[in-house]
Amino acid sequence: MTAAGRRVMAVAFYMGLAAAVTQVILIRELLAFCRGNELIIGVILSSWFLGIYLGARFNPAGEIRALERRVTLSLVILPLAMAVSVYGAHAVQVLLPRTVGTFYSFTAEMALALAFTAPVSFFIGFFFPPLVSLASAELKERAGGAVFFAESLGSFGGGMLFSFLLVTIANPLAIAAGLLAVSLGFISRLVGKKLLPLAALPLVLVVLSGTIEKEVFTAVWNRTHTGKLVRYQRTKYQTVAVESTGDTVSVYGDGILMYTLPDRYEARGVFHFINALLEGRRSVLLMGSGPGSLLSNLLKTDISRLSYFEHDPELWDAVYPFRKRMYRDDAPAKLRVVPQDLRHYLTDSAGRFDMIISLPPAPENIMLNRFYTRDFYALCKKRLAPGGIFVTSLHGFSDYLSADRKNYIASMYRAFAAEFPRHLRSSGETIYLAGAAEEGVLPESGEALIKRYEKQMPLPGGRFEREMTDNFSPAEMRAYFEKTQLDYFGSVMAPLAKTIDENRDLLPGAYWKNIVLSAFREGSALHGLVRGFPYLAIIVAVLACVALWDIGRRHGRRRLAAGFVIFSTGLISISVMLVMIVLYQNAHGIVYYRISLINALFMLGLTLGSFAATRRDRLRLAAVLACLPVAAGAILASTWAGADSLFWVLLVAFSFLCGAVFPALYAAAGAEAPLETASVLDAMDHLGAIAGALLTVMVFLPILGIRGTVLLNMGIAVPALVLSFSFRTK
Amino acid sequence: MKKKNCDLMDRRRFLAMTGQGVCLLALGGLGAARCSDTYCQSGRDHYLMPAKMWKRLGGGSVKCELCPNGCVLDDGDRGACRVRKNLKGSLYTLVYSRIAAAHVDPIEKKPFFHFLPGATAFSVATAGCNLSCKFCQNWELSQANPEDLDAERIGPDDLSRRARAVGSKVIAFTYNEPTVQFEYILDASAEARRRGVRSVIISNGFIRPEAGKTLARGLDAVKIDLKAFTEDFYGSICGGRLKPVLENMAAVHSTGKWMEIVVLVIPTLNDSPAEIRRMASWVRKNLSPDVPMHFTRFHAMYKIQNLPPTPVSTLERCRAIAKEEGIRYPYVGNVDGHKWENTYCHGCGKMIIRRSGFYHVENGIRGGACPFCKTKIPGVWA
Repeated sequence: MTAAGRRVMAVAFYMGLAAAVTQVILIRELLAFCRGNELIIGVILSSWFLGIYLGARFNPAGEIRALERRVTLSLVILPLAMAVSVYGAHAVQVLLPRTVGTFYSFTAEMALALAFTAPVSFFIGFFFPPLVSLASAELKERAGGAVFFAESLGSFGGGMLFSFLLVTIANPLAIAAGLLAVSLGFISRLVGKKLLPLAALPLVLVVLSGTIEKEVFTAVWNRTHTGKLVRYQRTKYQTVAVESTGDTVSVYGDGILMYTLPDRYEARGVFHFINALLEGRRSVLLMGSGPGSLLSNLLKTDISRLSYFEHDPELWDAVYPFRKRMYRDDAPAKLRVVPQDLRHYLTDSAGRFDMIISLPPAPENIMLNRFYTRDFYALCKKRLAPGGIFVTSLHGFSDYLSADRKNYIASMYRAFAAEFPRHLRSSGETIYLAGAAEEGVLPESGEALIKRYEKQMPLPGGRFEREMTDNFSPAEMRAYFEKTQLDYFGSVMAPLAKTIDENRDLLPGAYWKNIVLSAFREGSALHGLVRGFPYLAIIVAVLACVALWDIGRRHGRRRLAAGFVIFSTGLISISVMLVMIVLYQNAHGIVYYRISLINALFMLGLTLGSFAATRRDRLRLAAVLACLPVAAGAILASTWAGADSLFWVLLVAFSFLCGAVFPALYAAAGAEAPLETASVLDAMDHLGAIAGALLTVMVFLPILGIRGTVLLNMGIAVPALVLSFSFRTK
Repeated sequence: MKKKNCDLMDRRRFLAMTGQGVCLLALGGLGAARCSDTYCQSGRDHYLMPAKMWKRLGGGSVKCELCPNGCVLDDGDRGACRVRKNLKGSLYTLVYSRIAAAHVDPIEKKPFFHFLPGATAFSVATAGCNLSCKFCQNWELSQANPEDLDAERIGPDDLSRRARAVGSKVIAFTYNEPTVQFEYILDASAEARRRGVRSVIISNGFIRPEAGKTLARGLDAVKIDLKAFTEDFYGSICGGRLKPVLENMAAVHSTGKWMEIVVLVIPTLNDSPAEIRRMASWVRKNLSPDVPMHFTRFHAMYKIQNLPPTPVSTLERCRAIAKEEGIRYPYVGNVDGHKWENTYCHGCGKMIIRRSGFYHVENGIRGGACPFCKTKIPGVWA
């Protein structure tokens, strides 16, 4: 390869790297003000691919000079656009003010995700066809595959770089400035002019980025929230913000309120509910309450060992100084802070525990949903010692249950009741549930629990009472067992037990129903869409047909067929990748910093696939497409086998096949017109990816669950396979 | 020739018109589906009842005069409250006897602290509200159309029977806004009085003074949610206005019915000391220093999901300001076990009612007076 060819490949590599890093940063920044669920991840991904599609689609043929200018433009604009989007996402909260404590509607969030993502990714699509065209002078029909390979390799590198280095040491501004400096270096080589001094400016920005970032973040926070920001930290899991209001400190993770300290009065009810059930139980696991009053009060009981689970150790470090200011007692030796995911811990542990208390936030995303599934409840039941009790909570109701809320609660309650048919249930806006594996462990009713608690209090109004909370009496617990509320809940849930699917890891119904409920609550225009989500599939199908018709009209039948095949592949690849992300979340919890790793390894597979298909003519398109459903089938099989160790292997194997499709198809569909073919394939590949991202999060997963989604993808691969026989490769 | 050409339909125009026709048909179908609710078939619905407080305008329109929204409704239109509808030139209520929620609650939960302490209230609700507060606790009722909710028919006479059957000597019209149940409450409270059952409402106070007084005369007590003391808050957060609420409060208080006021204190939005001071001062001057004021704690609700609970210190500060302004019974609310949930005699300052949550009430008041200094305590005690 000549020096010019190597330069082209280097640019492709760098753009792939920059794209991977930019994508994951945008996901994190947008999630922080878009409620952080997978629906928004899907929307961000589809917006990302839409930008690429548009960049590739609106890329007319031109002279060498014009093509070089497009590449140069993309090199400069990409990092700048990333910085604008990241800080635009902050600025929008000031420019489009909302009532403090409210979210934008889902519709607005989707529009904002699109507005902040597509313009950036446009330049990822915009540079590709010209680069292929430039490369084709030397590489002929292999140009498409070679550029695709270099770009994928760069994406792999970017994902790894971010996962293992940048996530811990750099903020978005520093990364954008760093990328800009490298871009200027490339441009300097491409245009043959000395632009390197210009790179000093972004390097200065890298140095100042910490201060700028902190000032911007703090200023925006203080204008848009109720209190003053007293600490903020980007951990590898989330952006932690600690805010002070009056005598309280509130802790936010990715912009979502997690808990407030001190919560002396808030924690009374749940503490007494748990304390009444403790009865000498000594080993207790606690997750989800925050390190406030419940933890402090439990530490004053006879528990011999209290394990508090906090997945993000940096969050504990960020909050603990404030906790210490409010709860003067030092952490006793019996407290063990476990920096691990509770589910993961229970899966790996052989131990058994007297009480497991799980009080996570509502299942706003898959990561939280996994604490409300039958699989989780079964795991907890398995880890209870003889006579052990499992305590958890559901988000209840005030006085009436609407249809959407009924469905939402029923999916979780049914899952819980299936594992713990003998359980105790409270009433109220938070419903506490206590379950035991054996008969006779739990009192028969709330009244019996209250009586039991009265007996436990030898000095009503005395020492015990004063130490725990001020002014408590067991009679107060009656507020947690309001008869008409309990009767109403029972009567509403009874018929739903037969009609609503229980919430499961592989069919995360509660998560989806929470989104529907949120859209209903907001009066969002999206509510009709998310409730009638099957229609989205029809809309996407119509749009895809229009795009294919456009290709047929402009480029002929051969490229129409190629467009269909690559569209299917793009859809399947992103759909399965999202499934893999969800599978990973189910197994390991917080996924954010691993998204880039999953992305990187996916890109590695693409790289290897495209490399193999570029180098080896015998890697025929039909064979690759035939293997695609087989690989998806292996992923499907792994959900039964629970083969977590095979996760990364399956991911790479699957993406290898996805990566092999593009070069094979490029060679088959018309390498004689490189710009045209690259434009069609790149555009349709990303259009397929848009469809895959949207349909997977909004239609496939809610209706079919994880296994159903994989099965459907296997089916979608078949027509593409059949069509592939119409191509004649050299 | 030209004209003739215009009359001919080319293929493009044909397709366009066909497309428009299909769209219209689809929209028509949707419209028909929407009109399939019971109210499009006038007279068939057994919750339908002629409304009070309205007047006819020309051309089949009516003007509802129940609340300050003053909705002008053409035939088939509903008011902002969703439950009052113009059917062929007459206004009807859609929620007469249509009870969507019924629970037995302690009266302290309403909260009434000076009205039959320790009693339970048979609490009922329908759909609809004339405001749209972003922090509504019962938004699933208040922001819904009646036909979208599961409901049962409980007639005015049944209501007091049901209350007695569950051991409640009070009926509370609560959860959603009672104003929109105007006709039902008038009938049900009259029936309840005949049977010796008291009636109370938990209202936003956004009702015209004449209607408010009419309603109050049949009741035994009124609790008003005074959302804030600025027009801006009422406009941007609740979709209402402050002035009519204040006018109504004065009118209702003039009827001599027992009144308590609740202020849900929301961080940033309505918690400034100056605002609380103006509010308490207004209550003392225009109502009475004996009207209890409850400063209650906000928790994330409805559209305001991402806001921390009100700091207890803020509530304590609000209470202290109200006390400074001369309110004799300012309370802190939604903070179970807080000492300012107890009642202290305004004469001697001693605790006369101890509360811990809604269910633990130790009432020391004897004969409506403080057991220590015999000062008469304002309220309804028996």
